[in-house]
Amino acid sequence: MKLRTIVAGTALAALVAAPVASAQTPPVDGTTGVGGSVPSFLELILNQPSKGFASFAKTKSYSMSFNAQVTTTDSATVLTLADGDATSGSKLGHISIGSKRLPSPLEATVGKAAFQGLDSSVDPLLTRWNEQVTREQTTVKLRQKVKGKATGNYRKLVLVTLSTETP
Amino acid sequence: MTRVRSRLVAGALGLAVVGTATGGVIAQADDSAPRAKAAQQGGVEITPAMVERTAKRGNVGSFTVKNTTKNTLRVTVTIRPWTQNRSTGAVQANLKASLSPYVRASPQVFDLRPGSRSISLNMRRTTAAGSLYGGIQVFAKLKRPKKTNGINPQYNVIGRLRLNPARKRPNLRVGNTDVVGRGNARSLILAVRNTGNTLDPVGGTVKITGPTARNANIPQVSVVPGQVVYLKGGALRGMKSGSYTATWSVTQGAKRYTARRTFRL
Repeated sequence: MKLRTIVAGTALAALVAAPVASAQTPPVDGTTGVGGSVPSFLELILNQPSKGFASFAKTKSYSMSFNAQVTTTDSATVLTLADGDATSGSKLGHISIGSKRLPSPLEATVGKAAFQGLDSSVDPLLTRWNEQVTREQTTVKLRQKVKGKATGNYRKLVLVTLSTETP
Repeated sequence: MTRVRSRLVAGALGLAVVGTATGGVIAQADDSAPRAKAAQQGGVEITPAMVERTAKRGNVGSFTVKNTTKNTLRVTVTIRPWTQNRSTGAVQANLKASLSPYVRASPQVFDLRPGSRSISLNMRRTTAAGSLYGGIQVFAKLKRPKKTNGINPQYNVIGRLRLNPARKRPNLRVGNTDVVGRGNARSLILAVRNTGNTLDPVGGTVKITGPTARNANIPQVSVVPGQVVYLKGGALRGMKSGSYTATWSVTQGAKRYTARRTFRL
């Protein structure tokens, strides 16, 4: 009885397996399209400076820096810096201590380029990328020339702009 | 035998649990590092950085703003017109003007905790030209800045908005030719204003005849409707002095313009 059951089971298994085996086709060469759309992307990461300039106790040039990291999928992207407090007038680009405005403007640069004042009508261009970049780090250097002792508290907002250059 | 098997099973289970736990720790360790870095120096990201649709009243698309800092940011979204550099063709958002009467973001001003938020763009009024091109300004500042004095950098990220016309009307106004630069760096330019409603690139060829003949291709440039850009007709290095005629063949899409201009070297 047992033997008959085993034989019947084996036959059934063979019947089931046969079409499966015949369904297997030999491997063939071919191509598979792998693709998708990647949305355009802009990212600006700023390392907030822990402290600003030292107190302006002497007549000299004071400097500080902060880091910016940029990710872009655009072919042409620029990083600029502007005064975040004033858009025009005599305060544009100048640090004020109390009611007193420092005569020299705040200046900025990246790398070895010359410092550019934030008091001009055109925002200083810091860096330009002509290709896609990922977390590209840039150190923005700021400089303030002080021609006389200036004590007191000051606060300045600077607008770091990451913008595409193609319309 | 049963006892042996159960011990084996128990051992395997124990190993699996340990493995899972270790895997979890490793995964956490791998995962936590970039997160900690992002929290330390976070920022603002927008995606897609370009919203392109056909201009029509109502919803014309959306994008996502993400705050990767550990603080709440006060975000303001404004659509700005482009100003285009005549020499390079590069655009810059005009932060003193706004296209809010035409397109407005919703929400326009909001607080963004660490995380992301979708912003939809709504066209309130169509333009006479039927198209609208501008920058999407995402300005973000710390909602509660530390009460410290000093320099406070703020985020300003500018993407692109392209609302193309339902019916393209390419049109250019061709201006004068000029020679710019000095010495060996002299080159020929032609001023063109885009009086149409498309961003289709402008290109073509220029044929210079005179004491020395020369042909050149005009590099393609996209001109924002209403703006003027100088097309580059190539370098004039090595050309003899005298009076020349430049025949410009300018194309935008399927439309072609021919302009003959004279200049002296």
